[in-house]
Amino acid sequence: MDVYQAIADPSRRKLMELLSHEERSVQELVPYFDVTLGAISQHLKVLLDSRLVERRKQGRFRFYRARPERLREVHEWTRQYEEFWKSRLDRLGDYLDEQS
Amino acid sequence: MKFNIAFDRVYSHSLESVWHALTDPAALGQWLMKTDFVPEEKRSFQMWCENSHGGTDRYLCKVLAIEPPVRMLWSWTLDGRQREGETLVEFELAEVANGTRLKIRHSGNRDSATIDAFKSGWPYKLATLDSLLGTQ
Repeated sequence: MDVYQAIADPSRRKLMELLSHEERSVQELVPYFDVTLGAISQHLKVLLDSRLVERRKQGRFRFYRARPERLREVHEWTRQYEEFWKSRLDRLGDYLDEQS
Repeated sequence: MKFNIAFDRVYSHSLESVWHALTDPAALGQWLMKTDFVPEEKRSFQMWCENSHGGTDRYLCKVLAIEPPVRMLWSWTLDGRQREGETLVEFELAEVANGTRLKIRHSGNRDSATIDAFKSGWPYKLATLDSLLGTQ
């Protein structure tokens, strides 16, 4: 699953938000959801596989944290298109001036 | 991926000149990208552009609508990124007092789940996340 599909799910976006501010265990995430711990673990696995979240083991606990740098890649894509069109529209102006 | 960017420029040239620059393959090659574009509805075409890694990006495109000399809609997909869905590029021209106004809208057209995700304000959240981290 790519990063876009991973964040298409509302529960996973909520997880990303919760984990972007602080590291939490699955148990700590449960109260924020109406679904089972198992379901949350499944969503976390998707986020882990997409490298949107990373996991740290401490004793028998596992803590999860969002990796916002992965999200910036999504942002970056729009920004690249913006830069692209701005420079091309400048070139269109130059082209039109040369033709006249 | 759902995104929607728009540009609005006025060029001090005639509507016909600007339309020509948008629909003539040689002209497009001068300012946009090398292309085998044909200004006919439903015609597929490609565009090529050198990328920053020294390679060539290829775009698979199609004329979805064309209304000379005022409006044109392209489907526009980076080859190899089809999974991210096609994007749409719309050109709109209008005569104004001092020349021609060109509006371009470029939008992403992802699957419905992703579109829902982005409608729910996710890009805003991304921006917030960036500002929180102070890295953008």
